[in-house]
Amino acid sequence: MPKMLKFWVFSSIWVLSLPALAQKTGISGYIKTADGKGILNSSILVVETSDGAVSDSTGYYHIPSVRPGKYTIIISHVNYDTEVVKAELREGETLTVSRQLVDRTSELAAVEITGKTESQELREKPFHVNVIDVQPLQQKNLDITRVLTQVSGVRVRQNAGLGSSFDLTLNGFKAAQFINGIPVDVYGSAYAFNSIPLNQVDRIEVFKGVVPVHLGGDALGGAVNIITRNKIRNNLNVSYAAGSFNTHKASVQGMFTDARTGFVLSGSAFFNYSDNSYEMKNMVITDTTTTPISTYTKDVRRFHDDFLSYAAKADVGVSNKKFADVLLAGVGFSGIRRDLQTGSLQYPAIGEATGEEDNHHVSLRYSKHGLLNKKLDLDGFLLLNTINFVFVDTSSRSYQWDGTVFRVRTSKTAGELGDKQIYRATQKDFSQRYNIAYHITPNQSLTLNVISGTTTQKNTDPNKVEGTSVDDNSSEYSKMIIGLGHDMTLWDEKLRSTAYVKYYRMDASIDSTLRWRGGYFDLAPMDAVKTFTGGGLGFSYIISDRILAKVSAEYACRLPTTYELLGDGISTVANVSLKPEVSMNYNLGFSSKLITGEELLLTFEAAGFYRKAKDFIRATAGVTRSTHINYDKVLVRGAEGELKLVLDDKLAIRANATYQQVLDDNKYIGGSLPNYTYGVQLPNTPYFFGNFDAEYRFKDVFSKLNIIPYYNLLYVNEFYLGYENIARGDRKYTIPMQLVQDIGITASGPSEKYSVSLECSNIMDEEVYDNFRLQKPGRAFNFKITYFIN
Amino acid sequence: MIMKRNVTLLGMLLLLSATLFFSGCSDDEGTDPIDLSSEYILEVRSPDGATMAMHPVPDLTQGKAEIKNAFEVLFSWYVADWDRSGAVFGFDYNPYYFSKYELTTTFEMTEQIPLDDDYTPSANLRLDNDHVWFVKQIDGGTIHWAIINTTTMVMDDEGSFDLTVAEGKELGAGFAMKNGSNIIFGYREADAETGKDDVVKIAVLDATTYELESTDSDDRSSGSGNAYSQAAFRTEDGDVYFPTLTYAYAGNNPDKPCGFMRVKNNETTIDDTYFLNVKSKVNNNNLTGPLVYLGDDKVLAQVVREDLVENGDYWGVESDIYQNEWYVIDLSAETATKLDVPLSRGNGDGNPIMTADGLAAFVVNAANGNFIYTYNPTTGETKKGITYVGANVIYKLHNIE
Repeated sequence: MPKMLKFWVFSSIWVLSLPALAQKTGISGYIKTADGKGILNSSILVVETSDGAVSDSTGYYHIPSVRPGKYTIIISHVNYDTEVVKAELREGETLTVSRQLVDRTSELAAVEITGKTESQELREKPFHVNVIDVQPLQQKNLDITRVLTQVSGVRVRQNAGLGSSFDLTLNGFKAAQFINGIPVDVYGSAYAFNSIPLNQVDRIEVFKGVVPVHLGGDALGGAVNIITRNKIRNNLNVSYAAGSFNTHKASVQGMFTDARTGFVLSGSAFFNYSDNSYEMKNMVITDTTTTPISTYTKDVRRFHDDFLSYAAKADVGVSNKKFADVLLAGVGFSGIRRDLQTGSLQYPAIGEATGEEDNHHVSLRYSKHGLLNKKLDLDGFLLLNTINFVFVDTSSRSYQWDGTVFRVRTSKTAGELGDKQIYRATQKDFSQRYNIAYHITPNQSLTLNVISGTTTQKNTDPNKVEGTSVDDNSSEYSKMIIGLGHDMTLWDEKLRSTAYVKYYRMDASIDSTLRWRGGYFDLAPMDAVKTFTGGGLGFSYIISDRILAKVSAEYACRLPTTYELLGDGISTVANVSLKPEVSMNYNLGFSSKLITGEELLLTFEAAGFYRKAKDFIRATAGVTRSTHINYDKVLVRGAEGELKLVLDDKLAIRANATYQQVLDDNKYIGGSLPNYTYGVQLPNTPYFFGNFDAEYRFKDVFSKLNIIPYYNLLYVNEFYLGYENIARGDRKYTIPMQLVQDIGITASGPSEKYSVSLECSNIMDEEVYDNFRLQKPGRAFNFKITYFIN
Repeated sequence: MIMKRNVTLLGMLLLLSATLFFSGCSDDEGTDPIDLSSEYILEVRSPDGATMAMHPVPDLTQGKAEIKNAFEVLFSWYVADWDRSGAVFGFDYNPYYFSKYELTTTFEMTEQIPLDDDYTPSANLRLDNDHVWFVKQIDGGTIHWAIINTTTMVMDDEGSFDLTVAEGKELGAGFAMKNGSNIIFGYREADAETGKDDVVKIAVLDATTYELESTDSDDRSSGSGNAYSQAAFRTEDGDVYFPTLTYAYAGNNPDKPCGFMRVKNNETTIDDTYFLNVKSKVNNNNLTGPLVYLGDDKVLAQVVREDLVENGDYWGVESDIYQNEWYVIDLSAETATKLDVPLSRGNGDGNPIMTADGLAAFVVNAANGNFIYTYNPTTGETKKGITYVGANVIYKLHNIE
């Protein structure tokens, strides 16, 4: 770890620890069920000071550092009705507030999806949505992509280990990715889902098929929105994890707020590093000493795959003011450093090429609710971000997978991944999001959401090697999405409806790119404007206290990217006639509480989905040049189900499965030629996958420790690289079945303030692939310690 | 009662899950036996262009073949039928190998040579039954060549020679053809960014040492040769003819006509008394590259209909933006006769071949299906041959015997 980084990480931890170190005693009590059992993880919040605590397994809590005064105390738990208590703390006394809560729901806790009131509210909306309350998961050494992998309908396909590129699909289509409603790309790679720590996340929203109006992204398959910890309350969360392949992850996040002045100071920082030196099995090595030269296979370790990501940010401002519920200005920086071990294929091994990125941003967050007689809510967010990229590929050496140099390339211009280059690019992003909600009546509201962003990119190769084709270039890309939505509840809130329209517009320009003109290529500046109007409709209905049903539909689009429209001026030719990808999405789902006994809780959720998409954008298979075209029609249909069981608040089991058909929907090719693959699963697309998780909570062992052993299983069925009906079955290439098992154990202290977790992932050391011939890590061990005060 | 129904529903779901859980990709179902007497390989692409398959067939003149009976191979930049002894050779890139595929008891990869990762094999010349000389890579002005023994799969020799290249331009190989004691090597010196080529260029190599002896150029056309497929040929009197291709994926020069140029037998310069301007003979359209010499100074060649070109997929693999015609061109009489076959989609990477019966076989990827047609040079008769089902295009046609 670089010295500056060490200094910065530990300084941050110290500074953010200050409010925690100044604790005193004040309010305490027990939170219990109606039959007198202690309730674990109840949240007790002093409204006026934002102080709070979480009850332990006996129901006991303690809130230190409360000054004398009259207070409103909110006691809440996901499974029980919330209680609001007015009480006075006198000078020199300790206030005792104990309550018995009424069981109101049978939702799962622990590893479970859902939890908070906000989450519950979202779950009852007409969208087909999973809300993952990640707090119970933060004791484990998980990252966001792995949590998402455990959600039904979601596939995360990763090329390699920590920091490697990944694809996130929802019900067969690529998902749009957001952080707090802003597209994730503008934050820089350090904030990618495989880098941002779970301990800095409040919840994850997974919208399948239909994306609500407040998320402005263009996507066919749905969206994943990460909500970071931003509630205005004193808290501190510190974690550190280490494991195989010299992997280290550290995170600190905290907030200090003063209820009297409204002052708010929050900060977060994280650091991830790994050698990613996991074993690659059966790699082909060439022996140049034999005549003729020969090959053999060998298990080797990855030797050029170091990954480092880091980020820090701080926000300062005020809360609970007349003019603003929240007004925060922020500043931050982040970056990544990575060695490149492969391109998109497993061969050749790359031994020297590297990439790095540095990012600085400033932000402004504003929120004011309850204006105009509590009818108008305003939210706004501005982000100005600068990202500098450097990609270095200047080596003439050809490496083998054992790290040796196979030979030195004779070419002066050929690097390891393409032309030799030191490619530098500067990207500036300005993003803004505004949300205005007007509550027409208690049961009806209108929402206007505007999100826009402008990205300018300038690239250059100042150390250009003679003969290379990377040229200085610049491009600009702006996107605006305006959404107008109407939400309504009827019949004692049994029926909820949502309806919205969205307008999308993008402008893109590049100062020089290859152009197709009258059947020949030339070089010219180009620009393009694309627009689209879509909309959606959804209903949810509470059929009984055990069954909730949902139905929704959306006409969605994905606009072409600048690269797809205008090419790169090198080998990708512009095609400004590209149309947006569009899809008609339908969803039908229900959730049911099968058994809601005192000791046994069994719930079942199921959903069906149907998507009909057209004008898929794809690259053509050119050898020296390619372009993007609208080609495919795709039909997606499938079902997913999830079963959850909780026994005696100790044993929690979850199993889910997704079956999806992602089918070629082109009846004809070339106009009138019947398409042989019509109705056949698209190449390289998994069709059946699922998860099984189990954990058991041993309470109050070794002086009030909670010990939780857990087990996870991921299954992905074998699938073809190409079409199923192309070529003979016994000679076809496949991506083999995945059956990955992880075990672990966490131990947490009273109030779960601190925890330790040990885990072994991929315990059977399986050779695992998400993509063709790109091996993922085998067996790995890690531990994590967490310290948390809320 | 409700509880019982729930349990039944749960049981059914678990049963369904278990069934799916243990089912994987299925093996061969309903495929036909492999005809080991096959003399031809159809190289086909799946409808999405992403899957590449080889299909051995015994007869090109009749019948039907279906892609479900083909053999998937690793995607290769270039497949050649250099050897003509039952094999085709693919340049694979995951990992980088020259792979030899043979028809044994099945169609299988029998040998591989590991390669460096900067091989971009292009112009090639069959030296004898076992050896092929080919350009393996071009680096600035340096042309790197190698000789592969296709029987032993050993690189027997390799070397390089240097050509001049102007600032802002890059070289591309066009063709290689033996001419007496020399090899005529056609090449392009095109704009590095747009690919526009202005002048036809040849280099003359010593056919024994492969050293450069001289160069020549001619500005009546541009786009010398067809890079990946051998487009040059020798007529009965020993003259070397080669096409000049000015279309987008070759010379990329709309101001120059396409055509044929000649280097006379044992000469080392382009014959400035001869240039067959094909463009003027084929309604101002353009040669695409695929051709085969029929004998008696006649060539079967593919021509793109420029008036039908649309925007979109410039490489024409996956759509129908390129519509091609087939012509018989008489190099002496300087005439071009269009064959009565449907328009063929694609950018025409595949050469036609001569069959053992003396027929020219060529690909027609028509709007209503993919076919092999034959042309009889003796009678002038054109016939529809084998029909191919299930591919977007028949990409290439290989003769392995």
